[in-house]
Amino acid sequence: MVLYHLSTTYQLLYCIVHRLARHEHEEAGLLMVEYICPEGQRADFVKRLKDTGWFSFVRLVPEKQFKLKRGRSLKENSTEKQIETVIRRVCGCVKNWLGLDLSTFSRIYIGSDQWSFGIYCLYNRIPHVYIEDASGMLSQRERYMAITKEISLTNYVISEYLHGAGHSDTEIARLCDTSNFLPGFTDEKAEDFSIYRALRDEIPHRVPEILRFYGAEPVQLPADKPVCMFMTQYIKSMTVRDLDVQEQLTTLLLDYFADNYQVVIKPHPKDQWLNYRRICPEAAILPGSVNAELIPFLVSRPVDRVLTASSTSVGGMAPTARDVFSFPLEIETNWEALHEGYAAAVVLRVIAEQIGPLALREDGDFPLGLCNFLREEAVPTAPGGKPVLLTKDPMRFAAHKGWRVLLPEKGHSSGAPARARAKITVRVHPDKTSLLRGLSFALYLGAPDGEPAVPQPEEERVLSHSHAVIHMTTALYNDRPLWPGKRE
Amino acid sequence: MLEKLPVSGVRKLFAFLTNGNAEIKFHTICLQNRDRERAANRPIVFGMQLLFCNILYRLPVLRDWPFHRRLGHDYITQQYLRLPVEDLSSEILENPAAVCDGTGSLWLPVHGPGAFFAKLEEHFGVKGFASTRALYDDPLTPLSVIYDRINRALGTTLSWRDELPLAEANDIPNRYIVRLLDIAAYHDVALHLVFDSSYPSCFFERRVKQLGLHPDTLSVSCESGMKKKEAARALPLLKFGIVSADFAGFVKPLTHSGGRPIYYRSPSVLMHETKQPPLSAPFREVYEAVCGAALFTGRWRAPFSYELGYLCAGPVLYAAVGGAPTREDAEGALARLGETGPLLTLPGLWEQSPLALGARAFCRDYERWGQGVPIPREDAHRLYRCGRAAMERMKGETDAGALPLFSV
Repeated sequence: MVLYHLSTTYQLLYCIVHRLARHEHEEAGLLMVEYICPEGQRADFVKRLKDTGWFSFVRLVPEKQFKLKRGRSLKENSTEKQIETVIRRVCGCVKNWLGLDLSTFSRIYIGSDQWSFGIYCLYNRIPHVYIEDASGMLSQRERYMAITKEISLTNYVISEYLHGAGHSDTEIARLCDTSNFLPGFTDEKAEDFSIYRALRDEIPHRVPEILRFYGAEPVQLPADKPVCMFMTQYIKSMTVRDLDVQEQLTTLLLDYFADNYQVVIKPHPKDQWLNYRRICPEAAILPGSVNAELIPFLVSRPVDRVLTASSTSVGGMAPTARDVFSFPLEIETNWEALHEGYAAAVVLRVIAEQIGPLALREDGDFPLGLCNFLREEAVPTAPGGKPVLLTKDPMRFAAHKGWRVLLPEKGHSSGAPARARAKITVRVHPDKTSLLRGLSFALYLGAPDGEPAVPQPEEERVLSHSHAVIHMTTALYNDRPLWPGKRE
Repeated sequence: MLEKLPVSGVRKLFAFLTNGNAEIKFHTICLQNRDRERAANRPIVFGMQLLFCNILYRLPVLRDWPFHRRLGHDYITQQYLRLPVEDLSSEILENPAAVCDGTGSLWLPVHGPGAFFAKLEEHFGVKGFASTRALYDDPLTPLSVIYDRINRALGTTLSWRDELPLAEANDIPNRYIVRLLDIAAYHDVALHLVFDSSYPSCFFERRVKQLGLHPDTLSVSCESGMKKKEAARALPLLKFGIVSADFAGFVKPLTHSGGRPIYYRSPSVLMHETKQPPLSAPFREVYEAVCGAALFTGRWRAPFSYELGYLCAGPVLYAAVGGAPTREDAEGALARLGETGPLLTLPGLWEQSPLALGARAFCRDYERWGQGVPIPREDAHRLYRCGRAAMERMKGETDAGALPLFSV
């Protein structure tokens, strides 16, 4: 018999699929942290899960009760003695409540080992298999620990103390989706298991009953437009905890990357606060409880594009979508930089129309999401193309001889650099109902000395979900200023 | 010990200790929010603190004493700690309907009626208008009728429509409550707005729509003939939430009618309860409204250095250079003021410091919502001196990375 412990909806699906695919002929027990669903729905949820027959027993770990009994909460500066005291109390609670002989289980799988049962196993050095908390999350421990810290500081302190979350030597293996690891990450104990691949290749005959359990209805999508799946995020695991910020981020991404697509919104299971019906009335909205990994088995047409700010669930959709657009975490605090990325991509597209494929040379950081904008604007790039320098340094811009673009630094344009041939002014005009701020910044374009014609990007784009318009206008310099600021 | 008590008994005791009056209600919630772990782990200590709040906020002299609420000295955001709106929303989602009375919660008025009527008098250029408008002011009478009476009394031909744009400009929308109601609408909670006002319902409908809200009903006293409390009671609702800043006049009576109270203490009231240096009356009213709307709506939790920059450094900067200062403007103007101390560090930390960011945000917000009321130089300096020592300690902070960029 095997035993699973979990705390999130991702892990629940992971455990169901793993149990059906890898332990089909063995019995299995399931422990779930009670916070996995709201209090009023717990009894019904457990009953439904038991009725499937997938698990011999299903029990909710009463974390709230343990919390009352464990005594003081911990802080980052808590002493070893204080931490040990709390851990011993937690272990006492688990021991009294559990009533199971763990040595009788052939394997114990633990997801989210920062909760009481995980603490019990780590502290008592009970060998177990660790389950990651999202597709590829094992490779992002720092991010995962930051989320844990936000949810419960006490659990975080204990987890660090016991070297949990995929770092303990009592773990005999680590179940994870290796295809979604961050580039360069390896783990010698990693054991690859992907929900999507298991459903597709190992147990396709069990897919209908799994969909039935989740109450997932097939989604019929019109055939006239390509499909863009937007994956939302849980505000409490984001850097800026403001729903207005999350709404701005959502609408900007939809405006820049889902224009002319049939949008399907897949809310994070705990993202219940953004009114997607108001934000994007034309979108199909999937139930939050359905995991991303099930979507390919649910929608009537293949998903062409997956779009997200920085959701970890994007990995679940990655194997089936034609292209995936995601962004670094910085987007959560610097979402306005998307305008810069868009403007830079438009400028490069216009240059490429004149001179052919480009070979971009970065000097410092590219604007946020520029690679995604280059794909969206279909800017042709090739290693042997015409070199173009992107820089935020006016002096570097002035010293360079070939094609070059001066980007604004943190939304602030420097004065005209020496030897600029054109100034591209970008203005964002929000209307009265918009949450966006009005903005204005400039990019400068430089060309080789002998180049007779300089491209003039002129563009106006309506950001319909953000209720704003972005204008780009170009002014050419007739003569060539020698020093920064002289022409302005 | 607590886990052995029946849950219903603990809940009743908690309700008794937290619902005495508006102050007790608000401050006990803040107490809970400041340390939620303590409430669960140290229930006896927490119970004693609730009891202390009950005593403190019932005794006439003590209740006004600004414990931990001295501007420029205490971290006030930490004292007025509301729940994040996504957590508060679980309360409004408990019932299939919600009623909200708008003023003081959905919109935060900058001027009270007196100052607003004075502003109208200045706008119309008619002497005696303010007192006449106040005399005929009645939320059960339509604005057009009030203006007919004013015109007869003063011999003028003023149009009631001219008051509406000024009334609109006097209200700061509260994104915290807008978001709360939006979450409710997303989860199919029926939304009913009631207003005690002489303005026509179309005036509110348009503005509510601009905020992205689509209430199921919207009732204005001058059209329905019922004040907000009666209008809410007349709705055929059995279970509903009450979102309001009016504890005695709306929340409490409707709680007795079976509603679930979601009391929202007005941010400007919180500013008013904060111990401030002596300020001139016209500036103080606007200052309290603008600062309350920016810092104490519950929308985000400003760090102490940002709060200091906003409350204490911002007015001096605005008085010197106005609403959109550049770093160079600020440098020049502050040097001319002959100021020494932490204020001079603002230009140097223009981009990175929460202190500077707070000061600049005040300038931007005051420019937008300040109703053109100038900041007397003495008042600005008093505010600055209040926070000088704390700012001196904070001026080295340069991590503004995760601060949101939005305006009030």
